[in-house]
Amino acid sequence: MHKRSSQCRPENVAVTVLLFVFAVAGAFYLLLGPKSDFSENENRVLEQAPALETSALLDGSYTDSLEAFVNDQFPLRTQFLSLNTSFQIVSGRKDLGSNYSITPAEGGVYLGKNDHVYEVLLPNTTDTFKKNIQGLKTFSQETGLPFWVMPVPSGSQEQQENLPLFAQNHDQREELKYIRDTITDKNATVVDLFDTLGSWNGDFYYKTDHHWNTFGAYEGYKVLAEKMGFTPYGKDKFTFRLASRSFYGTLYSKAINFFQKPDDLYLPEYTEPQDIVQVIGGEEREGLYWEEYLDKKDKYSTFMGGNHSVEVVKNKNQNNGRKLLLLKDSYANSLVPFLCLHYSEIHVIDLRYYSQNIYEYVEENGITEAAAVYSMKQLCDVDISNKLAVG
Amino acid sequence: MSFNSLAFLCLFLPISLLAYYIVPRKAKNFCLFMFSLVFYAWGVPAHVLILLGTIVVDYICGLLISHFSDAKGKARLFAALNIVVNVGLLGYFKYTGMIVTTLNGFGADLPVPEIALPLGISFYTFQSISYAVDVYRKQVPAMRNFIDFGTYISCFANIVSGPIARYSLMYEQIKNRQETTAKFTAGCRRFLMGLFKKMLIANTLLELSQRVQYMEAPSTLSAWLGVLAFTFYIYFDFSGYTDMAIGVGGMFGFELPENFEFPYASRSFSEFWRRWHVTLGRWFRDYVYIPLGGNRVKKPRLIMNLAVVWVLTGVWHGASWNFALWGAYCGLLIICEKLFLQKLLEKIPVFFRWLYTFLAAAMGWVFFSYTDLSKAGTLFAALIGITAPGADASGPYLLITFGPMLVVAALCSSPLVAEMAHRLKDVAVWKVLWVVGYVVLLALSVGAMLNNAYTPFLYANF
Repeated sequence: MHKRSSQCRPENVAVTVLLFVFAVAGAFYLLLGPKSDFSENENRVLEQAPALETSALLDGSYTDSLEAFVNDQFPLRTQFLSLNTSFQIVSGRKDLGSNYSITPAEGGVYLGKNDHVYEVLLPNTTDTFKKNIQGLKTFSQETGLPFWVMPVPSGSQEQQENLPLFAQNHDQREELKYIRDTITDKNATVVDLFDTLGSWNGDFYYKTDHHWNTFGAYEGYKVLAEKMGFTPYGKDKFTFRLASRSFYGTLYSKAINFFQKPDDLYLPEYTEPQDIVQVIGGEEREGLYWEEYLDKKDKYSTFMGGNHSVEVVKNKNQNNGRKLLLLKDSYANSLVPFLCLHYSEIHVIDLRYYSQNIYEYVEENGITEAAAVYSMKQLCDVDISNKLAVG
Repeated sequence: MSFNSLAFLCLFLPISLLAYYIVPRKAKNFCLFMFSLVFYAWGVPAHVLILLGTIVVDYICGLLISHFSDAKGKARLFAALNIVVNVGLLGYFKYTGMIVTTLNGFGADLPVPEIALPLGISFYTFQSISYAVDVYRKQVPAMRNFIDFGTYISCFANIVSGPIARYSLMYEQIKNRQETTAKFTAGCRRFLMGLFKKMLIANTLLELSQRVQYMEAPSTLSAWLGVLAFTFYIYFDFSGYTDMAIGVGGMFGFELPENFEFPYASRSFSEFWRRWHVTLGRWFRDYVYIPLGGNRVKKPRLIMNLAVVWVLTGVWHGASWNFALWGAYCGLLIICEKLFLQKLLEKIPVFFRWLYTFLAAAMGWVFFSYTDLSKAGTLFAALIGITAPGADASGPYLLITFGPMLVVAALCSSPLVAEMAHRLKDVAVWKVLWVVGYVVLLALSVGAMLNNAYTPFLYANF
């Protein structure tokens, strides 16, 4: 390796040709090839060719944009990424997409058995979770409304037998215990789904997405409805319509590869047609399914069109006058189609995007009861407590 | 700009080569100088002014040293001026923050300035100093041509992290080098080799190392895996970068000095340092150690000289006390070897000599990689099995998932694989396989670059 001979070796010539054919082909594609605006696989906007401006040149942002442009618009991008995933798997890796150079670290995903990809759960290193639970407790005490708190465990918590050998995973039951010990007010009920969603009962999670699947949401609905004092409708009362057979979810984006099998996405439909509208910013929309998302990558957003800061789901066939305030993350989006059968109105608020006073909202809208449906991981990761503070 | 980015590979490299080979001989250095300035300005454009300023000052100093070469005192004055300017720049940009933080630790209450480190400053200031000293020593003439001098200091092949090419070595190459197909093609191969080392081996091992560093209380098995991971990571990261630098140099007709000669196959710690980051070791030898008197002094003075050189070597790596400690650790081992350890080593079997050296290097990297000394302490305790469980679940998991890459790294860092490849190099089938291998590895590396666009080289921080 260290002897530099003066004669030219044919294999070096071959490698040189390889390098420059590759580089020049890449350059020409970047210059002339088609550009895409959005990466469905990674769910993000792709960088476009930056405009040459003096200020951008001087502060270095031009070159940053140029580098991002080259990476984002590179030819055969998805194929190269899949190749990289395959290489990592062949080299023995059982998890991908982590980043331990930051605190708190990102765990990435486990490549599990049965074609499942799972979130890696790491122990909490911040007090976000505790602050959130204290926030929910404040909410419970401040409103005094009947209040159900339903934290949904992650797929990797519930299907541990599918995780790779010796895989480390934080036990979310610790958080469940903390919630139970903290939210103890009479009006509040903590709903435990940990046993219900266990894999001995079925597969309640998407293979490639971090959400529970429609059947998981149904199980959640059954337990929650009972706690709320309703008799939940049996499975036979619903048609589960297979809306897509090619759903690649958020977890897949961290482990793009050729051989991942896609998920099926089912939309539940109650056998007796209901007159249900979703009101967002004064606009009424019929039904809860935004089927235009079935043609996109983010198919889970078919449920209620993804997250909105505030929306009201009205069931005109249900006249019991009960108005539920639902504090939630995206897990609830596939739960609402079941739950709305029992309420005249469900006021759905995603505190991450909501900036008004929640207590005034409760007063102004005549809310009769409240629920918080969150994935446990979201409660650990994203601080919503300031939106629940009084005053 | 970083070698391991697609923008470099697909845009900067082909364009700069094309321009370089089109322009007439007389304009080649000018062309290279201009592209080097663009390369340098890529990340933080303002820093290019610092580089240009240094080049101007050092250029003038060089001319004056040469002009006054018969009047020792004046020549010495301008050589000293060059050194003061370069050391001053390095001191200001690299160590101000560290000094202020340290003073604050002793009770001072000073605002800690945030000074961004200009790219490659630790490397090009050392090249500049070598220029002044070599001219002063009359080993080589000064550069009369500003463009030539600018090319020497700023050449993008090695400005970011070396190899530190001393002026005496480069003078001829800057003045009249010959670009040949042999150099060019060997350079391309070398460049790709470095890219593979960085993207396929180093980055994976960095992840393992970071995972263990992230743990509050690693088990003994995890701790060892973490130490091994960093040991191989730093080798593949830095030698990968160096391969790319030497490769790029070759494409422009340069022959840059080697930096690594299978350091982990060494059989004493002194030998390790003769094979690890060779150009830095030589620089300290020629410009610090020998001027201090080198070996030809009495024992206490020798120990003193070695201690100074090694603490400086440590501190050069980074503005943080753990690097000083690491330097002191290296110095201590080398002093011990000089005084008595070497004689002992010669009496034990080769395998144990190697083991001692490898472990000594690996333990050194703990000081190097843990800026938080209390965490380094926890790790050492875990390594020898006190205060930590021997193995928890994470140890076997990391072993299974990263073990194969550690084995690959160990094999590729030893001379065995290189020797085998050397022996097979004239077999026709092997040549075909070899080229196919490069195609596959290039595709994998591109995937890795797309997957993680920003994976800087470790030594670009120093």
